[in-house]
Amino acid sequence: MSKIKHVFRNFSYYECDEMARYLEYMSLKGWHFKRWRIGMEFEQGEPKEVCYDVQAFPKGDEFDMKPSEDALDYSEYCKEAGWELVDVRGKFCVFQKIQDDAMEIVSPDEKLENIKQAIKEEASWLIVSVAIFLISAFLWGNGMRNHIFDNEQFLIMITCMVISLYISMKAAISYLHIRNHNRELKCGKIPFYGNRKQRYTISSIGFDHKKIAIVLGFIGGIVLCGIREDYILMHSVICAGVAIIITYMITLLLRPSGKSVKKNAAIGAYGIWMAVLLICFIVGLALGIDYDIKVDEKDIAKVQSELPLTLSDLGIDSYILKSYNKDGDSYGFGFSYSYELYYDQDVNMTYCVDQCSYHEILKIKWSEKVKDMKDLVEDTDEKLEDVTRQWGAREAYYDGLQYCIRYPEKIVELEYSDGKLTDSQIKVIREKLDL
Amino acid sequence: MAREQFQTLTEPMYYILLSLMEECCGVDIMAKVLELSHGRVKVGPGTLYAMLSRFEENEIIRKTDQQGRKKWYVITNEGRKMLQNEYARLKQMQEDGKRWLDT
Repeated sequence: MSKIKHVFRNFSYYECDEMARYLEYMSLKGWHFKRWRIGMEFEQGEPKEVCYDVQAFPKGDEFDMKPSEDALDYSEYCKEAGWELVDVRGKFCVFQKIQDDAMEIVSPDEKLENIKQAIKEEASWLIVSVAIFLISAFLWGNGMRNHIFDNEQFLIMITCMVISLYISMKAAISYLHIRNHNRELKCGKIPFYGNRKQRYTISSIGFDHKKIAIVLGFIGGIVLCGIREDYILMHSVICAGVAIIITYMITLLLRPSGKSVKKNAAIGAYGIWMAVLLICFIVGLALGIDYDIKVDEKDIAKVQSELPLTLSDLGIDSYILKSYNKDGDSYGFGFSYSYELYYDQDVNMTYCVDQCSYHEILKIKWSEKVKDMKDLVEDTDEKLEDVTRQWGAREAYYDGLQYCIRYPEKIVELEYSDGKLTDSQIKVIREKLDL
Repeated sequence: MAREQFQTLTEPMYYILLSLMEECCGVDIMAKVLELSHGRVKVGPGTLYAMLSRFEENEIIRKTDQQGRKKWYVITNEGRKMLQNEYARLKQMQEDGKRWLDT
């Protein structure tokens, strides 16, 4: 059985001649291109001089992972002219010369036109990624202000921004290449699509910048989560990575055509998200990730001493702590932490502290919180009580259940289900939470 | 309108339509064009494939038979009119030039 080599190398549509030269180089070294599967697959054989031609097929689909019906029809004409189709990926069609007097497949003008068309369709994804970035930025900046310290929201926005920038840069580079080749054609020269002076090696690890960027992005995300000690987000990132790898491997094996990918895109996208949630759930179960931390009776004193604030600190010892939940986020703008304490007899206390030295951000968050409070009391018989003096704060309100307090660099939300706090309790809270 | 692109036919277009005055298999058109033009006009497979698709979409030719991947085509009445118009245009150009260029 012949030896197979997998090469991970990425070529753009405006580098089709460079790709053909690369395949010829590999053939001279005894590695003959067979197909795209896991990267480019080369089969070992006798070193020989082979002539390749790589075309941008106009009727090809960006999502084609194998020759479509149109590509196979196209290959019949090319075979008659002395070119045999080797494989197809996206709009790339790789042909091998089988007759010495083989005719050129397309004229130089048509070749440029086909490449232009291929690049235009590729760049249309720019619109999609920019739209996603704008939507996520809008959600983060407006409707999701309560999550302004959320690493997840920030990560999604940054990811969308990076993808948009990458596609924009690629589109700009493509445009410059095409403009230069246009000029060459008008001067009567035959353009060479790619870097004519590129030096090759037969190494398996080519420079597939897309895949490298994705892998680095995931590793970076996981490392960042570790530094921030946000293990829940780390768990989500790892599970998303696993889901994407599984989907990619299945796609490589099935090699669907572009039409079937688009037809099943909605199902596929939904399926991926379901797969991510399912994997998250299964891994969570396996690792025993529990969002509520149960408290054993014998550990109550120890746990209470570790928590920033408990009912016991407020002199309320008639309830027993059963479980608690903690959360925290931090990145460049500031940090936040929150605790939810669950006691017996359906009593609970929750508090959330947002700390940020950027007053404008804190102002936006505060106005959103006060608006929510006002909207809530409008629906009930409660009134919004001004408790600024009791808290020694810049502003503070109480709606019958929850306190919202603003300090120069902090916003605190505190909810106690068993009634209003006394002045002395408020004093203790201020000491405990450093307000 | 799509037909505007065929108001003036290029040489490859002209010879492809000429070769389809009789029913012909798509893959044989390259050789037929070469023969009709006495070796002067060469149509590459990619060029031929794209043109046949465009001609068929605009009902200038029609598919008459298919066996496996091999398809047979013939020119339509619309295509004949287009070809005749082009022939008349080229003939007129020749007549106009005769006075000055034929010595």
